[in-house]
Amino acid sequence: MILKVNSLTKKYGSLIAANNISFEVEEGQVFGILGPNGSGKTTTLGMILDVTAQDSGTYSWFDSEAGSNQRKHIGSILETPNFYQHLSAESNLKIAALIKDVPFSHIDEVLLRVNLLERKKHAFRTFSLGMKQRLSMAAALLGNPKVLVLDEPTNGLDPQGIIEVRELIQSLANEGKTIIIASHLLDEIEKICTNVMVMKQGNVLAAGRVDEILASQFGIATPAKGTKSTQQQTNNNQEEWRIEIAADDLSLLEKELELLPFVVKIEKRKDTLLVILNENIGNSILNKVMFEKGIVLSHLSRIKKTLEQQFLEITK
Amino acid sequence: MTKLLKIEWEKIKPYTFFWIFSALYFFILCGAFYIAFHLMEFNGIKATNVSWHTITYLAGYFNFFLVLLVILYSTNEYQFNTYRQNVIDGLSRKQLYVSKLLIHLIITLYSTLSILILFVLMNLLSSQPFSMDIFNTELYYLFYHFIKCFCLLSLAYFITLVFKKGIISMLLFVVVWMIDVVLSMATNFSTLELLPFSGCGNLILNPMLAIPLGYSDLPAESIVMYSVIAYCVIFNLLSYWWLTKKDLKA
Repeated sequence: MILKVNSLTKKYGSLIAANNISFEVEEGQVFGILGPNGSGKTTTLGMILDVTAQDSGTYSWFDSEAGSNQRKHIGSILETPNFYQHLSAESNLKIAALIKDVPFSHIDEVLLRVNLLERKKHAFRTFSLGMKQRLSMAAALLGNPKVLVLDEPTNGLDPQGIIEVRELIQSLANEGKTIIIASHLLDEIEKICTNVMVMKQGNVLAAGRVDEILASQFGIATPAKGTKSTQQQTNNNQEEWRIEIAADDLSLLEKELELLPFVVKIEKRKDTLLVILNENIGNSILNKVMFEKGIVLSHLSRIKKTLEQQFLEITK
Repeated sequence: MTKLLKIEWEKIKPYTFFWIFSALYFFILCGAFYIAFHLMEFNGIKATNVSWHTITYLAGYFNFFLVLLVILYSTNEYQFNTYRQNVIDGLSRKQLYVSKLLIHLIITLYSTLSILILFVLMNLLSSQPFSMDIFNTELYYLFYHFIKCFCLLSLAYFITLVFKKGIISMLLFVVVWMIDVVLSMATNFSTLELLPFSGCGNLILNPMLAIPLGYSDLPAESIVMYSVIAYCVIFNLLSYWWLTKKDLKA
């Protein structure tokens, strides 16, 4: 087990920034913490990195009691890039290397990996936001840590920078590193993560494998309150399937569809109909039913819910 | 400990302001001492009358330079959020405290050594023949200077930890100093003479006034000394507590 978090709670006065947060991260997972701004992602990461003092709860890294030595084997970025403005990229990394007990010879390697090698002598304050963010990545990679904790790693980057950082994270994940990544960008989590935990106002709303959360339709994959279960809890009342369908004669198709018992709602689109079903009717059956009624379908596709829709529904 | 010093060295090495300020402190002391010696000679009094007492008293006026240095150096870490980063990277909070404690001790040592070197130098350069006697009389004033300076830096550091912003910390330092002095001056309650700033001030009294007027109503010198040492411990314990128990945020 890489990380085990047990009922961490943090209050700021009457505001509960993180409420009874529990989760586990296993080796090789890319664990996403997803939530809107102010949902408690950074507070949670701050607690497991010992910069935010928890009010209650515990956590352990690598199956042993938390301590500063373990953090040397975790590469972390928390919020904005934190560096000494007057120091060069190289000097800043020297400080990080000294703390992590990593030889200075590793500095060029990580600077090369984030494309900053030619700027290593330049002062940090002369860097653009994208470069600062990449230097954070470089610092996190010092010493080739097994685990990376990344808080909004693409924040403030231009589209090119976002792609670069994502590719970097992806390649690190492919190397077998365990990555814990917090983001308010659903798309980012969906593209990178194997597991996801959804937070809102300090609470965990859902947790599980990204594909499970996606597949669970409206349901919440797991209660995530200290239990290991990743079984789906689907709410039957709210289950629905979406289908995009089209035929040469759209109005006839609509008329026939309205007669079907499992059709809940039909929405007209430009050249297609969006049909919501209350039963999981297979494409072939639907096709057959329509064919029997003399309608030849020109288009039939299932709409997979994106994590974005899922997220908005969960945090509604 | 060597590791912590190496880390601090990497931070300070390219920090131009730090070096300029430290050099400035030395030269200002140099100027002040020169004037003191010169005036003494000018008035027809032997230069040897400029004692460790006089010189450490004079140096006390320039402690604010060092206080400013500590405040700016520490607030930098908050401003850049590097306190957090150091811990995130694997420094323990205790190490965070110890590294700053070492810096404050080094600055205090630098100040004390500057006084020592300059005093010897001034004696060598004066028209009077140099005598090793200067090391036999009142040398303990150097120690007084050391604890006084360290006490002020420790207080400045604690204020900086709590208030984080450079300007606010500086203002607060001055406000605390004023309250302290007003309290001890406005009342006849001699315990108030032991408040941090008053205590530090009473440790090395104005030599011009001390001899002719006397400070008969002041607490004994040893009590003042122990109280200043106690403040050093208290301020450092408070800083340690703050750094190990509180959130590290900008």
